[in-house]
Amino acid sequence: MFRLGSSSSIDSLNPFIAFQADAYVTFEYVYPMLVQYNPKLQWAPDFARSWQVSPDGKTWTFHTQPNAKWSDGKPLTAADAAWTLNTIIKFQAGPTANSAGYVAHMKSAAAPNATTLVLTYSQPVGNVLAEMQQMAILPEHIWAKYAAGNGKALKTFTNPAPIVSGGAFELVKYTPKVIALFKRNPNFYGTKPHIDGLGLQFFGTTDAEITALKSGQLDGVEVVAPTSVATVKAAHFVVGESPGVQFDDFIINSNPKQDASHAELLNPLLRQAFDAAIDRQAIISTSLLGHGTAGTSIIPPATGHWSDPAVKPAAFDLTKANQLLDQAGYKMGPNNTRIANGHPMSYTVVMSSDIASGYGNRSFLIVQSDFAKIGVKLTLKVLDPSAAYNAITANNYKSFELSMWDWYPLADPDFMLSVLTCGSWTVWNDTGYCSKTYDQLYASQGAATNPARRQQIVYQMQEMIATAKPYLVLDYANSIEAHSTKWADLPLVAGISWNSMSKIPFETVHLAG
Amino acid sequence: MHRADFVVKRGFFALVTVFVAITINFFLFRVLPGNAVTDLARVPQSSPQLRHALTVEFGLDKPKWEQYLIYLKQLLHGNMGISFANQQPVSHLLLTDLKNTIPMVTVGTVAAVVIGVFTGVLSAWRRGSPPDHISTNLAIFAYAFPTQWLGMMLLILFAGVLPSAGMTNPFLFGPEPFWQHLGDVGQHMILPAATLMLTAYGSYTLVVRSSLLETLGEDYVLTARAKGLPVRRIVWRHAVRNALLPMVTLIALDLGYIVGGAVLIEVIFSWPGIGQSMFTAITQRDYPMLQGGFLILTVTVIVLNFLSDLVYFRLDPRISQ
Repeated sequence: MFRLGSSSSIDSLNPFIAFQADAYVTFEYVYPMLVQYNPKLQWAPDFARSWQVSPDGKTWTFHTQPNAKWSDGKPLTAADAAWTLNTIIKFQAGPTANSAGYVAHMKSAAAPNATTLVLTYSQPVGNVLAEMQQMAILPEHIWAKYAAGNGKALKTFTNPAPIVSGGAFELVKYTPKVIALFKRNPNFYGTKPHIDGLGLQFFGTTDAEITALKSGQLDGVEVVAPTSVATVKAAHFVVGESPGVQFDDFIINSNPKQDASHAELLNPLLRQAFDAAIDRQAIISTSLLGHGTAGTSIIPPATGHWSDPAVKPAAFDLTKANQLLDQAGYKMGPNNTRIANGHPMSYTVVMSSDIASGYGNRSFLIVQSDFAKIGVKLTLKVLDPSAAYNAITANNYKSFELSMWDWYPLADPDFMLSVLTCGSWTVWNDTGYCSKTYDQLYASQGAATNPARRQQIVYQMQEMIATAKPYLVLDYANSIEAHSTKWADLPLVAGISWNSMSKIPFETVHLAG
Repeated sequence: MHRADFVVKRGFFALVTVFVAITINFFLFRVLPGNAVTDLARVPQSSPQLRHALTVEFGLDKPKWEQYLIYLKQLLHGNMGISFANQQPVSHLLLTDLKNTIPMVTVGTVAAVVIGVFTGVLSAWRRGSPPDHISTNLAIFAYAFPTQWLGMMLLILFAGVLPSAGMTNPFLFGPEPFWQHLGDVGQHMILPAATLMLTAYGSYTLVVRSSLLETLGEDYVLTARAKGLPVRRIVWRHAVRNALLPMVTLIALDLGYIVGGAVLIEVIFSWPGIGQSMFTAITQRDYPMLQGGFLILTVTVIVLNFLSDLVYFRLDPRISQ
């Protein structure tokens, strides 16, 4: 049994309710997904062995595993996948709303036979595989009764352990805030895991987690903070570190209709000056203790070929920043603070408390100190995530000035690109950015079934954002995790072994020697 | 004042306080910036439709006064509502949490009371002596230590010696004998209960010392001494009994911890109790969980205060005069 420590949690075992990351990883290992990523971030078969798309891009056909069974011995067929998708479509305005994105533009799903699944769309969709990779296929014989009538029971069903599973593991025990125990599923259609089971223990703090690892109570931990890396290495654990997909950002209000009291924030010269005044290397060496790289695009290089290599980080140059602000006509006023449109350039930076302790506070002090040298005064306002988002979106994005936060993009660029659309206002958009051109490009990439064409549009969108600068991407923090030397062959997918993108890591891990 | 009048009057005030607490609990979390839907709608597949669906589902589309009336009606039927975060009945979730919290906080509080009374009596009895100085200074230090700091220090100091998280070893399989289970729970309880004891005992020491010093100066103690009674008997049989009156109130207030949970301690030691649940519920703006948790906490404190008033009435005849 591999004992893994987590400082996250499982909030629900029902895919129509769950919110926390560990719940989604649980679904990845417990339920069949049509496809998955391999460690090179390429598409790999899961429940679907192969797939093809029609020339018009509106019909996707998946050929699924034959003779597959659920853990209770009942047949696992393409009909289960079709039922799950059609149920989501049917109730997407209500009980299954949190899964509506999986079926965007999908008209129906059909299973003409036990191993064929046909998805029909109203228009070509470019990210079908990325959506299907996230969608858990549920056992129809268990869930069908909850989808009767108005479907409200789909959300009240707790889906308690032991869960009828079709994935690599069965979830046999779950105690909230304590433990999730997984047992190898003997009926799994794919490569059987080497380990008999997996235990996921939940911790309130990462310090307690690292203490448990060092004292042999755990075999591995999901996340190692940069401050603990040296300690864990000194204790002779295998530390897996790779460029992460998570990035930290400095947000400038980009609502064209923002309050006149800070409308100068829309000036491109000011945005270039701010970008040049950020010392990314200082942030990486101080806040991340060297465990990160300078930020460039909103699509991180760790996501693979979707990240545009032409987008480069701005060089730290306070002289240039001062020249740009001079050029914009913002003259130095009293207290070494510049004056813009008749008022001092003094701004409040809203920061979410989830990044504040540690990284956020340290990074803000670096930015604040450098901005003071170009005549811009910054004041920090830390709020919890819910309150921070409300402060940003308040008054239709007219009131907030600046912010600092982070993002965890998915491997496929669709989600991260969607954040900056007008349609994402008050849902995910945290900049007030809204552009018809950008929205049209977003729709185009979504409909591009040719990967090369889609990549071209995705690059164009990244360059557009790099120029408009609603985000100044500060850094990409490395993904760091650790495990005992008694285990071997635990590959990372997008920098993480325990993630919701692939079953491969815990299928392949085994005792060393 | 007659005993019945006293009880009725105090009981009426307790009920009014409970009603006010229920009302404040309802509005307090709703006036905070942010709302439940903001966080729970932040999943990758989020959309304006999901936000709207959640708002309607949680009843947050209704006016505040209507939500308040619905909440009151539910409470009168003994229903604390459904958690926004996981769609489970709040009463069921809180009951599970309470079962975990009560043993740990009870052990910590009882230990704090016993050690606090003993060290307080020792300090007063040996006033001005080295044991008094050591005991009083230690109590002040312990009282002043931030709980989270003390917890972290114990965690680091006892790493590898005592379990750092949870209330049992979750990797123990199969049916285990009751005594083995009890031993496992006890071992996991040592660090959180010790943290609670260390942060709480100091106030007991200082209150007992101060109260006992006052009592030791009373005429009846002087009389007892003049009569030649042994010092040990004077202190324990006569003085301590009277000096412990203020402790009744202090303990009643601290017992609120038993249901409120020591939030920071539960988070540090990953103790799956009500404190950790409240911590999560605040970050998620899970109004029904917060209302339920704070309702239990406030009602318990009010009831315990009411009981301490009754105990006072019984112990101190001056109150009825």
